[in-house]
Amino acid sequence: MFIIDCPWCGERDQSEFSYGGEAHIVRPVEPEALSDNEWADYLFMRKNTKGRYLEQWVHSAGCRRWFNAVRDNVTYEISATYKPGDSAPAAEHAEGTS
Amino acid sequence: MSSQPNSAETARRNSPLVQCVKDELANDVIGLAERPFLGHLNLRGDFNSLNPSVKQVFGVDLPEQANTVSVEGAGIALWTGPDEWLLIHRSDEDADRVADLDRLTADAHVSVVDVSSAQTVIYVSGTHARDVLARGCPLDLHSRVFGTGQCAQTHFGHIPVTVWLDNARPDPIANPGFNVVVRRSFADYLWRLLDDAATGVRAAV
Repeated sequence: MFIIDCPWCGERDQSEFSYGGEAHIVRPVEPEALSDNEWADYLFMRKNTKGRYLEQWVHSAGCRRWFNAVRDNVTYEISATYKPGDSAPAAEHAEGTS
Repeated sequence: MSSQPNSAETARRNSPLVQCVKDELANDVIGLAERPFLGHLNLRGDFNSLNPSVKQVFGVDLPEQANTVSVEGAGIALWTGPDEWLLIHRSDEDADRVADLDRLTADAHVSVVDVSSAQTVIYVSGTHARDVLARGCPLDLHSRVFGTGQCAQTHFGHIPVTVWLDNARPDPIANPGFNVVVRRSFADYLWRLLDDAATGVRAAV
């Protein structure tokens, strides 16, 4: 269990949230112009890196808004949350995980 | 279930919790009661497009700050999202107001949906209301954090609920009253869970 800071509602229990996978994946402007490989890449391929990870969450039992979080998937620490459309906060290099 | 016959001639409204024993054990420590047949309006849209019409019809300003509630005029307005509010009113007296609001907002890019039949309100009151709610709700319900004028959407057990603290009572800190908005299909389940959560408190008194 951990506490997540919803950009609208503030700190709430994890049980109010649902996970939405990697953030900042942009839908291609012209999907019909893509090859099957490119389309599959957009649909299925995710970075799955260790350490600092930008990911989507939705406050499903609360305001039902999507937002992004910076989470370390080793320590589970969420260092920042921000609204969709905002850019991710810069990484801190002290951790040495990236 | 209702003891009344329910033929076409005697058709009447039943509240979602008509079958539950209400407030049989209510006291200063813990009380459970339904607030049936309130009007519930779901409002979606831009604040500036909605607020003047709502203010004109119900006399209440929509709260702009997240998770707050305005109690004013003929309405209780709860913030439920950056472009979403729940307006609670007395449905029996306010049928004309809903029609007025519909008419005033007809040309605006907003939605006004009457969800009264879909929801009901359970009122959890008494000195141990916080303890009973905390049995199933992950919110920090301490009066320093969740006080008068606050509302929140959360869950009790697996049930999605919207909670606001009544500020009409004389002393909401010592004797809080939590209004718990719940979908009617979950109402019976929530009632039983709350009743069960209250058992320990009642036994300790």
